This record gives sequence, C-alpha cells and structure tokens, in this order.
Amino acid sequence: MVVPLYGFVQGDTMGVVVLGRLDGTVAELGANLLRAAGVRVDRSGPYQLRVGARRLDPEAALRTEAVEPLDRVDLVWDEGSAP
Amino acid sequence: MKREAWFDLARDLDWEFSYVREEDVFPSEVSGTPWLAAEDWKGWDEPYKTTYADYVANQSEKERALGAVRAALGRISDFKRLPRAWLSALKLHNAMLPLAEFAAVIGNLRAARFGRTGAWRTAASFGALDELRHTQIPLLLMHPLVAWDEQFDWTHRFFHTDNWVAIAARHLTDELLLGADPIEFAVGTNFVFETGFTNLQFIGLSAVAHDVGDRLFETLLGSIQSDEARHAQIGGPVLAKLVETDLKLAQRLVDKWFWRSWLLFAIVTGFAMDYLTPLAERGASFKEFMQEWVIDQFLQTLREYGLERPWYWETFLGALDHYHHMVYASAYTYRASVWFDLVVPGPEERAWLRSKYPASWPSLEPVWEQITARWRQADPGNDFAVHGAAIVGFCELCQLVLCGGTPAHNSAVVTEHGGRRRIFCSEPCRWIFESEPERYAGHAGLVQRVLEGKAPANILALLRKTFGLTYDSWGKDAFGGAYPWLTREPR
Repeated sequence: MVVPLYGFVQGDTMGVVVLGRLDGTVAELGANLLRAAGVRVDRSGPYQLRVGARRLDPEAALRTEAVEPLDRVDLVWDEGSAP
Repeated sequence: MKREAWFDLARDLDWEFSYVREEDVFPSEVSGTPWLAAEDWKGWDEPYKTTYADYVANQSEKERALGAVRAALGRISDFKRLPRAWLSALKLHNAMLPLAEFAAVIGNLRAARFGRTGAWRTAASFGALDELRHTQIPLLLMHPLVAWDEQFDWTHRFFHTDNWVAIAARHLTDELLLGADPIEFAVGTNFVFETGFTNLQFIGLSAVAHDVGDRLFETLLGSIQSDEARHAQIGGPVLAKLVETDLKLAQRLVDKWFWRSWLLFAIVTGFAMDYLTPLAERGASFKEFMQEWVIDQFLQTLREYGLERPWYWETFLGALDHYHHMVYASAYTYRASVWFDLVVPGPEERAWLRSKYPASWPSLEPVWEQITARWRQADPGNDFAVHGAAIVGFCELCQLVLCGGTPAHNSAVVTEHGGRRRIFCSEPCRWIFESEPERYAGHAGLVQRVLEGKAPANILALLRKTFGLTYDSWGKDAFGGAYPWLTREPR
C-alpha cells in the first residue's frame, strides 16, 4: 500500500508530496525525497528522517515505524555532512 | 446653492423606517457584526469626500490621460522593447488584477446597500464604480497583446482556471471581496489591503515601472491609485467604530487580513521588485519597500486606532527575509505551472540580493547554484531538465506552496481537524483556519483533488487538464537557460 506524505528536505525552499510504500524502507523514502527535491538541493552525506520529534530507523519499513498518510516527514542532514 | 449647503445632505441621505424594523433592513448576516442601531453609527465620516459630478469629471479626465498614453505607447512594438523579465511582471500583475477588482465591485456594492450610514453607502457606490474601472483597464490594455504572446491572454483567463495560483487567489478574494459583510470588507479590504498594502503597488511598483521605461503600466498604476486612495478611506471610520464596540474582533480581523494580504503581495510585488526588474533599474529591495510603505506607516496607524501589532509580528519580520525568495525559487523550478516566464538571477543579481538580504541569502544561494548546475548540463531551451516533477505541497489555508520558514527549517504544521489531517504553511495560516474552521473546512485544495482522483498526479497532465496551460502559454525560463554568464562544457 502506498501513502501520500508531506516531505521537507533541509535546505529546500518548499514542501513536496511524496508517495511512500508502507512495505518499503525509510531509506527508500529518503531517496525518493531527495529525488523530488533534487532540482533545488544538491547535497549528499548522512541524514535522518523524522516525523515530528521521532527519528525513523532507515532499515525499518514505514509500516513498522507507524508512518501514516499525510504525515510530515523531515529529511535532516547530520551535522558535518557535506553541504 | 453652494456646495456646502447641499453636500452633506446628499452624501449622507438617510431616513427612518416606518413599516419595517431596522434589523430587517440591515440584517446582521449581511450588514455584519457587531450589529448596532443607526443611532450608534451617526457621525460616521469619511475623510475624502466627493460629489458625483466631481467624480465623473475626475474619472473622465483620468480616462483621457490613460487613453493618450495608450495611444502613444500601447502598441505591440512598444511592449517588445521592454525587458523580457519585466514582461513577466506585467503578465503576473495583469492576471491578478482585473477579476479580483471585479470581485471588489461586488464587495463595494454590498456595502453600498448594507453599509450602515448614507455616507458609507455613497462612498462605497463610488468604490464600486472605481473597481469596475480597474477591471476594465488591464483587460483593455492587455487584450491587443494576445495576438503577439498567448500568455497575455491570462489577463482575463487566469481567474477562470484551476491553476494553483488562481485557486489561491480565489480563496482569498472570494472571502475578502465576495463573501465578507460590509464591516469585514471595510476592515479587510479598505483598511488593511488598500490602506496598508496597495501603496506598495501603486507607488513603489509604479516608480519601478517608470525606471524600467514602462510608462503605460506606470500610468495605469497611478490612475488606479488615486481611486484607491479615496475609497480606502471607508476603512478607517468603520474600524474606529469596531474598536469602540468590539476591540477583540477588530484586532482579529486586522491580524487575519494583514497576514493574508502579506502573502499575496510578497509574491506579486516581491517577484517583480527583486527578480523581474532589470538590475540596473532596481533601487530599493522589496523588503525595503515593505519597511517604508507598509511596516512603518501601518504600525503607526494601528497605534492611532488603539490596536496592537499582529500577534505573529516576529514571524512576519522573519518572513520578510525569506518568504518571497523561497516561493520564487520554488516557482522557478515549477515554472511550467504558471503563465509567465521566470529568470535565474545571475552573479550580479545574486550579489545585489546578498547585499539586500544578508540574513537569508546565504541559505538561498545553494538552491540557485544547484539550478545553475542543472542548466549547465542541459541544452538551452530544455526547460524540463531543470524542473520539478513531484507533486507540490500546498497550505490548506492560503493555498500557496509550502514555503514558510527558512530552508533550514520549513514552518509547515500538520494538524487534525474533523477527522482530517491538514497542513498549513505557517502558524498564522493555522490560526486563521482554526479561528473559523466552518468557513474553510469544505475547500478542496489541489493536493486533495489529486488524491481523490479529481486532478491528475502526472505533471504534464496537471498542467494541461487542470491548470489550463498549453506549451505556448506555460512558463519557461525567459532566456531558455542561455545566459551570458552561464557557461556550458562542450559535449
């Protein structure tokens, strides 16, 4: 099952709507988000995905992490990652 | 008879009702709240008075002046001489203006019937005539240009589409101009929008148009400004009565309409002043114009009425540095979704922006570096190589792109209401929604339309079917990405 999510990449100027597979991993969602913001954000390095204050496990499935439709998901760069 | 002998009687003609109740003639649902008896409205006085004869004579003179400039400078060849990016400012403004003004005709006519004093109704009648004129002028001036450039057709077409900007504009104007009772209309439109903000357009932008050499647009703005300056005066005396009788409501209406007006002007005027005006013609930045024409004067006016500055003032001041830049960069990467072309600021323009926005530009610069890098890898004219493809997120109050906060931290906030999850670009937008959820909850935003299958998710299908754009009319890079300063590696 696919759910729509509001995604925000740190360093971007806008929020986008991305589709996340509940059976897919958090890391896949992160890659999806970076693709969606790629025309404006060119950055690589370690990052984390968060829903509110909750940090998501990159290896876990979205379902396991209790990600729900229209959640706000933030991609936040780890300090020290290349700008 | 001398004018003094009949003028007040004519402008403030009123009578007592003998066979109906005053509450039935002016029901609160249409006349607005707080409902006060006619006695309480006595003494309502607009500072700027005119007679019908003077009004007609003045308007006729203004029409003659505008007509003369149009005859001299209104040919397609005259517009072809204007800077390419400036033409986009014209397309943006002229699409936003006429049918919003037409909605203002209706708002004024409601006040002309349901305003609570004869003088108020007289002033609103003139206001309705003004706004009808403001509807017709841009339609008249831009229509001949359609034969040259299809994007000018959006002067009339814009409000009839489900383009995302049109959805946002209608969401604002439907409430402010079509749906508001005369009290809210006077506070929101006459006081906040027209007194607080339109100087930005009619004086600030008019000066920019002069410098660019666009005398026709300058004359248009000047001609409209003198009307606005008159009928905007309705707002003050209505607000003064509201402050006297319901201070809390007065403050809430000012806070609400200041925020909503700010978002609109940030885009319409902010784009024009900081991005679409040629660098050589730029003087003050949008932020500097805001400080001079809106912030200083508006805060002083609020104090005079016994009102506080809006509760979100610090958020607003922060947004002055970021908001229109974030929307512009976002819109650039979705330029095919609008009806005007956009430009990439070059090195000199970025230096100017850095000097004007030292607090925010360092966080925006990487975005333009990435856009530039994408163009370096793309052939000139290949716009979709430097374009977004994901569905854009929109605020469920202002209906604009989620561009609040800063690139480091977007200020969007998700809340639950009535069993539905909603997203807002900012705390003020959330506050406005939650203050009157019954007013807004039924509106279907663009994302909701896509998720419900009422609009396509594929961007090209969305542009064509929902936004009403075609290849000829959708926005592109104004220079096809071929800038003298943008070098490409030979391939």
